[in-house]
Amino acid sequence: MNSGEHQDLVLQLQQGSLDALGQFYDQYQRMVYRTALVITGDPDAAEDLMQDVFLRLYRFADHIDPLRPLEPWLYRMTVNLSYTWMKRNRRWLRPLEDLAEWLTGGRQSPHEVAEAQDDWDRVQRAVSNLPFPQRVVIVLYYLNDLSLQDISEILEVPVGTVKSRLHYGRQALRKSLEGLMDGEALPSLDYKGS
Amino acid sequence: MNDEMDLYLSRCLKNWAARRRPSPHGKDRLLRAVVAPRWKSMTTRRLASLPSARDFCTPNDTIYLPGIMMRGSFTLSLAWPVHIGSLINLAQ
Repeated sequence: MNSGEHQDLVLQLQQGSLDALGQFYDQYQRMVYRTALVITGDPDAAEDLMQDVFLRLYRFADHIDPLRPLEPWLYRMTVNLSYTWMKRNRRWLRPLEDLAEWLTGGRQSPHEVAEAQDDWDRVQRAVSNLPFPQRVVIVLYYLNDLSLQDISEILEVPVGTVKSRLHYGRQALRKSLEGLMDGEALPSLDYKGS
Repeated sequence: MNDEMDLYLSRCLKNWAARRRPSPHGKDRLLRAVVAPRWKSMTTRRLASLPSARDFCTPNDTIYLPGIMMRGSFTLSLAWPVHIGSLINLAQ
């Protein structure tokens, strides 16, 4: 989509066009879904958050500047809604999950064991254990390939803060993934960006 | 070391995320939510946990909705008969 088409589509959205919303959804759904997915670690939550992000895009279309790219706005909304979701759900969900694991003796199906043992899953779980501000920077930087400057604008914090969160996030990940990288082949890359 | 770790993290997260895909019905659900905001509360998890209305009634059935009429100190409890088919039409 070139910038002229983008501007037209934003203007249509501002006039309440559902077709324009559908086109933005087609273009950005995977980006929003994957960002929410890796931040929350929960596919159902990611699906709900994605819907909320696009509903807000429709509701607050008047606040969107047609001359600017939409991605930073979508990322910011995804991060903010994910934060709200984490705050609302994790408070009671985590103890329930721990209790369920304790009651079942931590038993896992062979499929779950196989999945839990793979590197991708271990990395995702390590990222899930990071404090929220570090996690968000790690996701935007490694999953979405955004620059420090882009992340700083999305999160509305200084570049230095982004650098520091990235540094501490990396350190924590290195510690929790120690040994995983040594002598093991890197997983094959089959990811295709949105 | 950082370069190797960067590459590793990037590949792992991208591959992990690539294994999951959003529902193919997401767009339909979004557009419904825009035109009928009550759909917004029907999130994936809640929808999955709800029994289908078809499991316990048909459009030809009648249900009785409780209602209360109040006028001054006089209260009358009522049960309003509602035809399921007309409710479905109303919802659409």
